[in-house]
Amino acid sequence: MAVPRYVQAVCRARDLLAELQIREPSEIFIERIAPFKKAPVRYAELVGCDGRMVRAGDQALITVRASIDRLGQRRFIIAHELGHVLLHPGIRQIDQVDIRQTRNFNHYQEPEELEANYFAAELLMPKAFFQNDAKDIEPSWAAIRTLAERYQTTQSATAIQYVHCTKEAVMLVASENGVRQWFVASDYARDFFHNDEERVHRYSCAHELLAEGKTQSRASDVPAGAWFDRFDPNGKECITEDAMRARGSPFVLSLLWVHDAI
Amino acid sequence: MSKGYDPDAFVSRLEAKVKAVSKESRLSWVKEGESTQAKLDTVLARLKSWTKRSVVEVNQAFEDVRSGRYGAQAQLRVETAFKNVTDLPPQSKAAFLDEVDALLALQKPPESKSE
Repeated sequence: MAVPRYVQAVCRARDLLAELQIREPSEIFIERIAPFKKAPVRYAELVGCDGRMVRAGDQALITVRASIDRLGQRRFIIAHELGHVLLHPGIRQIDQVDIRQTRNFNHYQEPEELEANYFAAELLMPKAFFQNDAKDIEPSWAAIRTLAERYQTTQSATAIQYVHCTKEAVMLVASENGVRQWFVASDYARDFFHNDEERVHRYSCAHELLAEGKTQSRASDVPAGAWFDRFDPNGKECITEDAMRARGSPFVLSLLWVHDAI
Repeated sequence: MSKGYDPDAFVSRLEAKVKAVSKESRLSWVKEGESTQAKLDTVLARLKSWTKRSVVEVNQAFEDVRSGRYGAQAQLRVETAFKNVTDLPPQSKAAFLDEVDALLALQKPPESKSE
């Protein structure tokens, strides 16, 4: 069976971490890792994108929009572009990225972009460390923010890594303008399938955010049928949903947690 | 009477020293990264930024890159990388030209010192 390309990207990040002999998250100096791989970093006023990588031969240069004030976003952009440097030498000589792209883990997009995102997520939040930090944490955006601070990266990427590492039945669903776009599910949520609805259900927290223009919901019990197949949206089986929209992001991200037998 | 001597303190000092040396050696790539980064900083400090040149100059230089100063492959890649390459503001073009210049300078072998 062929290994999916995004998994190969994760493996490439792990190889790099092994090469660098990194033993704790505080040693992931991304602004030194990139130049070590012949991709030094500069900050400049970019228009229309948040990061860019330009390469000639084996020498690359990463530019990050100087006005990005969040360390996590800057680090993720550098790691994303470094991903292109190491993963796509023959394909990408020039790459531009915006913050929206770094939050997009939809598998129906250019494979190189998805790979660069997975590479960046694993490089900044190595599963070997992250799994331990995430193991006793109940899914919530408050917990994700704490992890994002520890690893100095973005909340979206942290949430995805959390879903991949947790032993809880958790899904992360991204919607845009009330329409579901993509999701990731933990191994423990395999028994649950989305219903056929494309639009987020009116009983969901994602809908509440959209309707009320909020950026953060309170974690609430919502009918399992609002999200999952084979459940009644008006039924009594509930799951917990915590939804948020990061500043400047088009995506509403819903953390769905099945914590009781339903 | 012999001077007081604490073997535990000595051992823990020694362990700390070994740990620090080992960490420094393990993370020796940081210094290499710093050195490469410093090269770029020097290059950028020496370059005359395109952001300080006239719009006409910027547009002309950008067209040079598009039309093959980097070869046909680069031309194609510029078209692909910039979605609306014909509508790019001069500020974006200037930032890109700075990157191209810096990249070319980084590729040059270091100047040898004259005797």
